[in-house]
Order: sequence, then C-alpha cells, then structure tokens
Amino acid sequence: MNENAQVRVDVEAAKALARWKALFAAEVCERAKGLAAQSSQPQAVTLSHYRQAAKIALQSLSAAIHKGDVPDAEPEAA
Amino acid sequence: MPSQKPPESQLESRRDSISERASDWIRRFIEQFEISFVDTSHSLRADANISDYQDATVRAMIQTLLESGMNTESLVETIGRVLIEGRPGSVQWNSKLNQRRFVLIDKEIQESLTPVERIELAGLTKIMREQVESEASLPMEGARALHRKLLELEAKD
Repeated sequence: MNENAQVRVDVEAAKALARWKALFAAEVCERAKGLAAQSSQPQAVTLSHYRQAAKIALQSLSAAIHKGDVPDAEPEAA
Repeated sequence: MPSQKPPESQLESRRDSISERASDWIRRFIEQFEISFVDTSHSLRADANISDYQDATVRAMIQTLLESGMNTESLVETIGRVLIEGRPGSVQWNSKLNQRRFVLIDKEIQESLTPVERIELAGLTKIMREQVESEASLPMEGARALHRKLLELEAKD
C-alpha cells in the first residue's frame, strides 16, 4: 500500500494556505505598485518591481503568520 | 533587409501587460477558487482518481464564478461559446451554425437534447445574439437620411 495515500490535510490548513498565498500576492502587488510609482514609469509595474516587492512581502508574511495576524479561517457567520 | 528600430517609448507600449484591475480580480478569484476546491474535495476518498479531482475542480470553478456575480445562464452560454470557438474554423455566425442551432432546437422540443448539446445550443444562441447586437449597433444614420430623401422625392411626385 502506498503510504502517501494515507496522508490527509486538514481543511482549515488547506484554506489557511490559500489565504496566506493570497495575502502574499496582495502584498507583492501593493508594494510593487509603490515601487513603480517612484520610478520613471509609474504606470508600468515590472518583474523587477515584483522581485523587490516579493522579498519584502516574504518577510512581512512570515512575521504576520508568526504573530497570528493572518486570518487563517473564514470569519464565523453572525 | 535593414529594419528601423522602433523608439523606446513604442517598445514600452508594446510590452505585454494586463490591467491592475484584471490582476486584482484574478488574484481574488484564485483565492476563492482554491477555498471552494478545498470545500468540494475534502469529502473525496483517499483513493480518488484524476477524474474525481477534475469533477471537484469543475464544481469549485462553477461555484466561484457564480459567487463572483455571474448568473447560471450566462455561465452556460459562455462555456458553450468558448467550446465552439475552440473548434477549427471561423466562429462568425453563418448558415451552417444557424442550421446546427435549428437541429438542436428541434431536439430540445423533442426532449432528446443531451447535456452537452444543451451547452452547445446555449453557446450558439450567445454567438447569434452577439451577432445580432453588433448589427444593431451599426451606424444607421446614413441609411435613415437616404430613406428620408426617398420619401421626400416620392411625396413630390
């Protein structure tokens, strides 16, 4: 029997990962836009901007996960 | 053959790019799609196969599209149109597509339309409707002016 077939991932863990990825992407986009705004072509966000932004976003995401600031579950319905 | 190099500004404008709105939208869509996929796939058996994953993917995709504000009719029509556009040849409305639409309508009346054909019919209807709407938006002012002139000439006679 394949032992990998027994591995199950908690739904809340899978959803948290989806949210972390989305948060990271949002952070990269926002920071890259800020970098572009300071460049000679404020309307063009380039791969270089994304690279720089990703490095900063990685650190802030890591810190946010560590502090528990990132919502890793859907908000409970009222 | 020598070719002139376009100015830098033209090169910049030709660079492949997407709008910020499109980028934001797809990012949020993917997040919701992933969460929907988790919801639709968590009940799959441990020995689920690729077909089960494909099924869960389609369910999650449909759910996410509906949650994004798309209605069911528009969703089915768009899927149908995209599938038709994927066929070789032109997707301009023509007599062949019209004939096929009538065949499918006949089958619908006879209640023998398959689910796949239902999607095809929706796609054909969407293509036909878009064609009609594009014709309706053609500039008609020139034709109306000519029509008025002919009426005036007729009245004089």
